[in-house]
Amino acid sequence: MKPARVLLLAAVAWGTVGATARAQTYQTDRTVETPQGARLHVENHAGDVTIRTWGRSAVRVQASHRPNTRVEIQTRGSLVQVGVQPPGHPGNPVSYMVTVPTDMPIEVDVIHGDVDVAGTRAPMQIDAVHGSIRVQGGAGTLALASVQGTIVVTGARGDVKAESVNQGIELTDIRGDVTAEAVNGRIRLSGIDARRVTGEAVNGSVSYQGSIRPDGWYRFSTHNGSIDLALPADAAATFTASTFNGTLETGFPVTLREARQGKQFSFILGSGDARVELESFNGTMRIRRTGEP
Amino acid sequence: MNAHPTETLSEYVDDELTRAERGRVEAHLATCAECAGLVADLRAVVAAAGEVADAPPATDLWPGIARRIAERGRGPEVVALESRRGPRRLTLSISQLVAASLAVALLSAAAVWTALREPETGVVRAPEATAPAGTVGTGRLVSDTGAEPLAFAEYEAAVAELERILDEMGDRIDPATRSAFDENLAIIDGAIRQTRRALESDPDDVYLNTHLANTMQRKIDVLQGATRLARASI
Repeated sequence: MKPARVLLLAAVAWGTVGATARAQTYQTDRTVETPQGARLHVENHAGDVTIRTWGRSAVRVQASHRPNTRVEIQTRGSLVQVGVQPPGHPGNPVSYMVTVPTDMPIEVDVIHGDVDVAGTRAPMQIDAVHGSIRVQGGAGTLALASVQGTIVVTGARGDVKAESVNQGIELTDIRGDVTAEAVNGRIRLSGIDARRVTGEAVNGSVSYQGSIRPDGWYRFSTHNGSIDLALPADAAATFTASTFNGTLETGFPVTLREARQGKQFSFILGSGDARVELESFNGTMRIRRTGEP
Repeated sequence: MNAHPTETLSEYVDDELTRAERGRVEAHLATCAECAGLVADLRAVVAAAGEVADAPPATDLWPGIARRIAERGRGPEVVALESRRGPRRLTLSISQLVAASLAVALLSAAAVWTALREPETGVVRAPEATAPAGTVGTGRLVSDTGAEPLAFAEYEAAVAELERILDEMGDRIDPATRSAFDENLAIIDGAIRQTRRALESDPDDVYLNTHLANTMQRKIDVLQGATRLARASI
């Protein structure tokens, strides 16, 4: 065989091997025992992070990644840190399935990827840039922030603070104080039992369905968008509503007092103990009984 | 409707009134949306001031703001927002409420400057207020000359500084994210413009003033988030 042909065949073979290796997905599956009070930190530049729970005092990390990426699990004191070397990028993503003790606090930082957490009864802090955050459960304080992703939380038993810049927020079945802030997105709060609730958007509607506690303070505001409150028929609160171009509609039989005609209103239901504030610069503000259209 | 109990609202928030006084204030609040809104805003200011106290900026903008308010305003003492833990008491007249809201926003902005600049320079230089002398005393901040209200000018300086930092480091954020930040900042700017136009026709409106301050705060929050992200991408 001529030397040139040998070189050509070798080059083709090398290229084929390289391409195959690059396309291959490797699986890492490791379990580390965790001390009492341990917390988890996952950092991922690209790829989804899914977290589930089990009854063991251990963290299991299952990761899908390219062969040239090494998954690192380091335990430093009570911190279990998960990451990869070299750091991933959108062309070289790493997908994680992490299984943790139910009460293990969680911290996740993701740039390109979604975060999905279910089954925990622990505090968590999740930051995403390009990606949504979905949480089922959680306790203590849940601090969730995304630049370009939706935030959906169900069944939390603790305080929830959710911030999205360019997408909406949906919180359902929450027992704890709630702060939800979005610039360009809708805020939907339903099944909320809290003493203090804040829902604020700049460009988006805000809706709330939940309890009104006697010592509660509930504040909803938007610039461009409607506000819709569905409250128990026996809600007892002092309501104030302010607008510039919007209107106020209420399904409760009340007498509105207008501090500024057509712009600032107040009325009282029952003992008036709780405080409810609504502000929409341009939109309709609506207060109705739960279950009524 | 009774006269607004403006001088006792901050004491009411601080729970320093007698039972009888408290009862009178609560009776008034039950029928006055304007005062109820002010009480809510005072509580928000106190809560926000408590949050920023844990991370004092290297350069505190508050003394300057407080000094200028004291020079121009009438009424009760302005308590400095010096760094200390525990419950804090702010004694503010209604006329200082908007300024206080913005001061909290500016303190947050200054904290970002600290975080962003200290590793490089070790020194943070607060922006100078550029607005001419104004007066305080009618439930809003106004300028004698009709120029921008003083605290709003400070806000503009804070925003300009954060925007400059973002311009310097913005290429560290990927283009799609930078674009999202820009689009959302434009949305906030639109809301600020609308509110300012509304204030031209109704400058005494408490809701519009507080809405403007809150929307400005939101812009600072978004800029802070963008600059933090750029910083983290180094």
